[in-house]
Amino acid sequence: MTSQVKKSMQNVDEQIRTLKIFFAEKIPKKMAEIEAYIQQSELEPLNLVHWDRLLLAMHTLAGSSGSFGFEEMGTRARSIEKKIHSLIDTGIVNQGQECSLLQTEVRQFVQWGRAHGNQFAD
Amino acid sequence: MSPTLNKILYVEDDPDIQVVAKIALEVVGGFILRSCSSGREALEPASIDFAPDLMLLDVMMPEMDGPTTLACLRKMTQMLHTPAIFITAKVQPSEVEYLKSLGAIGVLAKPFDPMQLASQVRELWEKSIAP
Repeated sequence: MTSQVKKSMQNVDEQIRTLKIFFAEKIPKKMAEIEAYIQQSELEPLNLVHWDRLLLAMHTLAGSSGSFGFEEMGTRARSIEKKIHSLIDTGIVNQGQECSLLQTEVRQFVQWGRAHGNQFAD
Repeated sequence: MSPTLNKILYVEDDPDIQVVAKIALEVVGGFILRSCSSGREALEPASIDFAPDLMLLDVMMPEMDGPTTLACLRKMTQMLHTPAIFITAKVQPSEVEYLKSLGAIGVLAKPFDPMQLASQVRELWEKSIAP
């Protein structure tokens, strides 16, 4: 590897590391958004708009976390995304217990995200 | 189809992913990238005039998803034969087959490794132009 290539790769590593730090800094805001959506879904459980917003938020987080080194966050978000998808697809979004369990799981995820999101993944 | 892969039109609604893909494709891969935040933006004249060699499309996006975006782009003469790759979390065989049936040369998994993305794109491209 030439010194120029080495320098270039170091530069890439630095840029990606910087992006990871920026991403980590935004995690509290992302968790707050998810929390707001779950609150709205609790207030209006039959309103699919709130579930769709929550689904998109979890999908986005699942898609991005892994690329920034937060694999566990991505895996957890993906798991919840699938469950929300299933609730919407099967039309049981208005069945109280299923929704309530999922809302609890999302709240636990938010707590976990707040606790772990600031631990920068190298 | 262009004989060389230089310019990529990338459609992705998540700004965080856009930034990391920019480094992955421009800095690591050496490609020229035009990023669009929505399918609608990809259909704007500036994106078409960019004349990409390849389109890289996120599947799940609000308002206009990746497959719909590709269908709309295909209606434009300039984009009729431009190879497309979908990028998605759903990489089960049935989903991949479905996306390929829409005319994509391949499907890449999300999340992606920023250090590997460019070589994955190039590999699919080369496979698609192989005789």
